[in-house]
Amino acid sequence: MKLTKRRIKKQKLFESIIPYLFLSPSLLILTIFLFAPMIYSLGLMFYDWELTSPPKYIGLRNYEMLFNDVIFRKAIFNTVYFVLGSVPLSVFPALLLAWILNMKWFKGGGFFETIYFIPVVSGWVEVAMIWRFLLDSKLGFINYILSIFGLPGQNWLTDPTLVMTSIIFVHAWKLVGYNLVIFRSALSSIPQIYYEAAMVDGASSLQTFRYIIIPLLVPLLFFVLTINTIWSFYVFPQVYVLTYGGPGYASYTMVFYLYRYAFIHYEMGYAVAAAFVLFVFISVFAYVQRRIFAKEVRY
Amino acid sequence: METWSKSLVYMVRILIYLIISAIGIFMILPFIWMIFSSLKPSSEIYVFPPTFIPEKLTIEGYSLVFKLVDVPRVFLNTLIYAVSVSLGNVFISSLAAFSFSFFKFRGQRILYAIIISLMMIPFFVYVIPLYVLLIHLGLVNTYLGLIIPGLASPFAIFLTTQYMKTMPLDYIDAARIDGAPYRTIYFKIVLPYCKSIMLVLGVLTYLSAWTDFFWPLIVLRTPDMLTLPVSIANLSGQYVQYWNIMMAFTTLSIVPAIIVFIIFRRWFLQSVTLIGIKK
Repeated sequence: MKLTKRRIKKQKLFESIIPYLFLSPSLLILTIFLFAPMIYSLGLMFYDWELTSPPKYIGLRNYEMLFNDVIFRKAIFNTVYFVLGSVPLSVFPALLLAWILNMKWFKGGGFFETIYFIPVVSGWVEVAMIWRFLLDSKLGFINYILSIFGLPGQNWLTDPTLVMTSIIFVHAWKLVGYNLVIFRSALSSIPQIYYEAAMVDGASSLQTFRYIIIPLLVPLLFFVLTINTIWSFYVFPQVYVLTYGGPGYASYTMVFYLYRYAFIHYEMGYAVAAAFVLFVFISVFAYVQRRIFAKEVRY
Repeated sequence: METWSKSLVYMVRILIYLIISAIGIFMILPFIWMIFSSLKPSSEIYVFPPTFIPEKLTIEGYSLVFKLVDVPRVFLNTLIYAVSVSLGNVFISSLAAFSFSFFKFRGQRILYAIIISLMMIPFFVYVIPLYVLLIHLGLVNTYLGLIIPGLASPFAIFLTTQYMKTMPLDYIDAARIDGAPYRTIYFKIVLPYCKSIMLVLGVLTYLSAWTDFFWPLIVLRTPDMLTLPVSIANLSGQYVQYWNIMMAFTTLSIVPAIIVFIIFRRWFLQSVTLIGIKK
């Protein structure tokens, strides 16, 4: 009896170390390369620091300068415009397409799903490079097609009023397939009995979509909208390759601005402050979405 | 009346097929344009109206890419990055998940909660101090600097843990009673059970590292260290108007990815849905 008790105690001690051992690689990497830099950021945003000279404490001056900068305000405007345009454009068509591909009479849903997914597996840089060529005002194929139909060609990437819309469009083109796959698998997991019940009640397929499918998908829709919103806030390679922020500052986004200040001008404290403004924007959007959906889910 | 409405239904269905196919063509056509353009001689790039199918086929674009960029080296760099990050992530997060799923220990809940909340922190919030840290460690423009920060991710730990928790505890208990050491339990019982989630996670991490842009862009400096996306963007700085060269490089980068996707289609699609549904 005594012996077993001691053995249990010994084993307990052993077991109390084991889980930490298994955790240690993750904890080590996350602490050094994620947690510590994050904490460091919280302090860095109050400093003026250009890497070569020692950091200088300037309080909230970074934020003051940020909001006085016309280009940063332009970047905020562009980013919000981009989010509001690209999220609905990459989510709702995907939902509609998923619904069609999943209809009982529709053959070849898997085939089209694969086709629509090809842009997803291609990298942002590659996709943006192809579209930069397609949208070129002189050599591009899009303007040529427009000219066949007698429509005037556009300066898609060099017209300041049009450039953000073009980037929105390329973004949605790439992501529709991703959202489609999520919706399609969710749709096929809806029990057949719901559709049958709707059919017995004489609901049209549009009514089924509106009153059966949409309400069932609301929680997933919320999730998809949230991740798409976050991705849209991160818009960077698209801008870098398609326009490099141009013409002028017409397509600066918040991440692009941060990139320029941190890694071209090496204004570290200033760029960290810009990153936190971005963080606040993302949080506010996520919160608002949550509120809207909290209402919807109840019904 | 009956036949009329039936033929109307067929008309609508044909119309829907046409629309779906048109969208499909719209998704594919840019890639075909890319491949065709990469095979055009430079003179044909600048003609108006542009040709879709090249009048004269040439591999001039490709040979120029190989002259301007050390393509095999760039491929190798990308491969090293993607393979080590995906293998590392799968392995390290499975260790953490093992600990979270089958042990009770002090600080377990709080640690897990912290890891989950780290998932919400955007990369851009900590990337600047992280870069400064790499400078101090002398890891800028090295494979180690590129890879190590990506070896563990809160998301991967979360995903693996959620999956591992669904495993019945009886298996573990049975093995423990037989006196099997933890090493054996982990390798022989838990890992085989979690094969599918690890594959999915691996595919996902591999793809996102292969196409990653921001992080390699800031860590890597010299042309011989660049990964494919950065190298393409880098080349476009000087040669953007030489579209046959740019499209040749883009084709070289995209086509292997598309082939891998078509072969492992199921794993790719599953990786997307798993993440969508698990939430």
